[in-house]
Amino acid sequence: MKKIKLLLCLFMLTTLCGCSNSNKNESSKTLNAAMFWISTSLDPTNNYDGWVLSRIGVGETLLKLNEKYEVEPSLAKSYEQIDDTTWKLTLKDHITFSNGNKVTGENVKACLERAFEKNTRAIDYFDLNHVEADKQDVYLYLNKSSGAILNNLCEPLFTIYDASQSEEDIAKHPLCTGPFVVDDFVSEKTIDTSKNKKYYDGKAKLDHVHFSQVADSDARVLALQSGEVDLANTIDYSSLKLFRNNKDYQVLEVLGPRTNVIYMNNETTFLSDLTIRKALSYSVDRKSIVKLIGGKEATGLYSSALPYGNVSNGYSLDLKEANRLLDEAGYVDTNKDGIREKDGQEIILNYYESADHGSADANIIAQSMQSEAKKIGIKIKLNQVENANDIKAAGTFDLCSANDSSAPTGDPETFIQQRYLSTGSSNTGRYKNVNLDNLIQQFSTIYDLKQRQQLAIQASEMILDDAANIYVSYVPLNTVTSSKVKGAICHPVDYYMITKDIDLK
Amino acid sequence: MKRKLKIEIGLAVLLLLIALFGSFLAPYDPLKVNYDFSLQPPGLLHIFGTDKLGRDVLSRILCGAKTSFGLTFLLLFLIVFIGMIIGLIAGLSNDKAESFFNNIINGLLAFPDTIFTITIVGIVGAGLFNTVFALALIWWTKYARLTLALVKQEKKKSYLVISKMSGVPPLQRIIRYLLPNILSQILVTAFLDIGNMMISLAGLSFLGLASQPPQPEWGAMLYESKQFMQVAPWMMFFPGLVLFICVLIFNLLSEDIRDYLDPKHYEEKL
Repeated sequence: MKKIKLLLCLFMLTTLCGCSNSNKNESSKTLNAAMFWISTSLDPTNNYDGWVLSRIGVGETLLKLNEKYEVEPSLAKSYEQIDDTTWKLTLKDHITFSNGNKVTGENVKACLERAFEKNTRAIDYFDLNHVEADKQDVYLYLNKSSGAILNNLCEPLFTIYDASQSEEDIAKHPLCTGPFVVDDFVSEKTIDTSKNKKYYDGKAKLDHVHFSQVADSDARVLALQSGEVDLANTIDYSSLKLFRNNKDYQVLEVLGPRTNVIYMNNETTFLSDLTIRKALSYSVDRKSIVKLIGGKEATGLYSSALPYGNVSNGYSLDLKEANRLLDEAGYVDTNKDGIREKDGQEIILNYYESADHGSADANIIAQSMQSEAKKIGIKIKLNQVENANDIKAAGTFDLCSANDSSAPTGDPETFIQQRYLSTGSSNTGRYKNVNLDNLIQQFSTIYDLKQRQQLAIQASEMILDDAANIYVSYVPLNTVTSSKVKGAICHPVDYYMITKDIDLK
Repeated sequence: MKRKLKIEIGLAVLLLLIALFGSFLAPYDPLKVNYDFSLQPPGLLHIFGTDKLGRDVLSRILCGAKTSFGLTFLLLFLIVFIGMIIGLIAGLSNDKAESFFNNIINGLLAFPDTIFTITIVGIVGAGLFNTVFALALIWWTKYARLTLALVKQEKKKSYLVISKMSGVPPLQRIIRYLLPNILSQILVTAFLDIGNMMISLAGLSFLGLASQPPQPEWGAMLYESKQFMQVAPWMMFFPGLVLFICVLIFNLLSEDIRDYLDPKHYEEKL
């Protein structure tokens, strides 16, 4: 009898334990999210890894951008320009990293110095001479003036983390100031985060977030439908209709600063000729492409979602004009094979495309462009590649597709300087124009927002006159969540995704 | 000849005719982009529907047949030809040469063929002919090994020994006596491989390695349809169905031909 009682007690105890565990699981709110890309590390200074750290709600910068691309305080409560090349930022007093260490000027100094030491992209944002820290004040001394410094400090490359950590820890578990903390990180696969109990701005509503890399857009759709994930972004336009007007899902969309662009190699035999570049610019059926992939027809390099995105001299489909330009320049199809030639050489261009963010858009644009170019006697050979970035860097292409954020920090200077300055660090199209170079140099000394925007429009129009590259469409950003998710955002600046307010019903 | 075999031959011939004259049968230009007809479901105007760029799926399947079949037969010819030549050289040479060729064959057989092909295509660049070249580089080994085994078996037989003793020149001996005796087995094996090859080529196109857009090819069509699997299932269904039917017909046909050519078949008849 005693044995039976003992067994009964044990059974009851086990059942109770089971109940308490299941209650704990039920009360713990975990969001599953699919990301198109998870970096190889979480070190903000490594390539664009800081963008991932920001998206997952862990990394924060001194200043941040609002939905109108305006600079707002974040870790810094104020900023002040001392002189042309000196800026002072004052940190909020009560902020700590997730390990409880206070965010001090010294720490910020170490993070900024490390960013400049580790990543060549940093110098594109502002030319730092040195940093000085005095308690909660940080002084940035620049080698030359920078009108974009405040916006550019919002770039996740300048994320603030506990710089006393080892290199290995920064790469895997950086201690930052965001509403979440990294628990586990598997390179290019998964990230697990949990609520940052030391977060300075309230408490995150979720307990945990599990991120998985799902590179393919279609796979993200299936993951959402199967309930495997609660949130996914960058869903292909054609698949969005599966979620629209469906009570089980919510679709958030916004036109961001991203542009679908076709880079033309301005140094190749044919594309060094303005006539061919113009003819190609006139041969793109942007209206129809936008019907297929969503977004808005592009006019210039800056998205129309930006205050300086509207230009007066954009190109639209005009095959008659394209043919006229080519005829006048002496490109004729003498052997009647449908391809124009000059000096016995047929206009055949190699177009390289790869699936950006696992989307089919680049392929649709490429095939559409190929079809239209055929009508003006230009043959385009399509090549689907995985290493489009290497090809762009090597310059072994005629045409190359890209989906670029035309103003990653909301300011026009950095992008145009990287992509269009003759000596730009990412001048993919090998475009050179001395007048534009001079115009871009003016950005550094202009601080007035309106004047900077005007300058951006002027530069953009100059680039269009030269038909440097082909601007196809402005890309809409989207986030799809299951209906049980609330407080999700679709920010036009696409390195903001998870906030403290996101919750599960 | 069995009725089943006759039907299978008829169907295979029909498929080959479609492959040859598909472009004449296509109701629309398979490359013509028509944005107004994007993702149209199957209907009277477009029997198999349209793709994202408004291109007629039926026309693309019909025109793609030429590429799919053409490449399969080109690949088959290459691997059988290369494999037979190497197999014959190895089989008719001395032991050292045979061991040398055997080592090469075994070495290549140790590679997983798909990974080997992807690596080669990665080096020489994507494209239909590069992919065929890459597959041929690894698949000839099967036919070299088969030919080698058959030659070793045949060269001990009296008809070859007598022809050698009678002073028939080596090349003539191979062409007139050896080849006719081993060719049927090699051809049956080749026939059995058609379905396999079609699937492999389509698979590589699906990975974006073989056919490049806008070329209609069944594997590439499947690849393009992947993104629209739910919103336009016909884009995936019809090319997949056609590929399935072709592989099925050639597999059934090759098995029946093998049975038909099997000596046991004649013994049963006698």
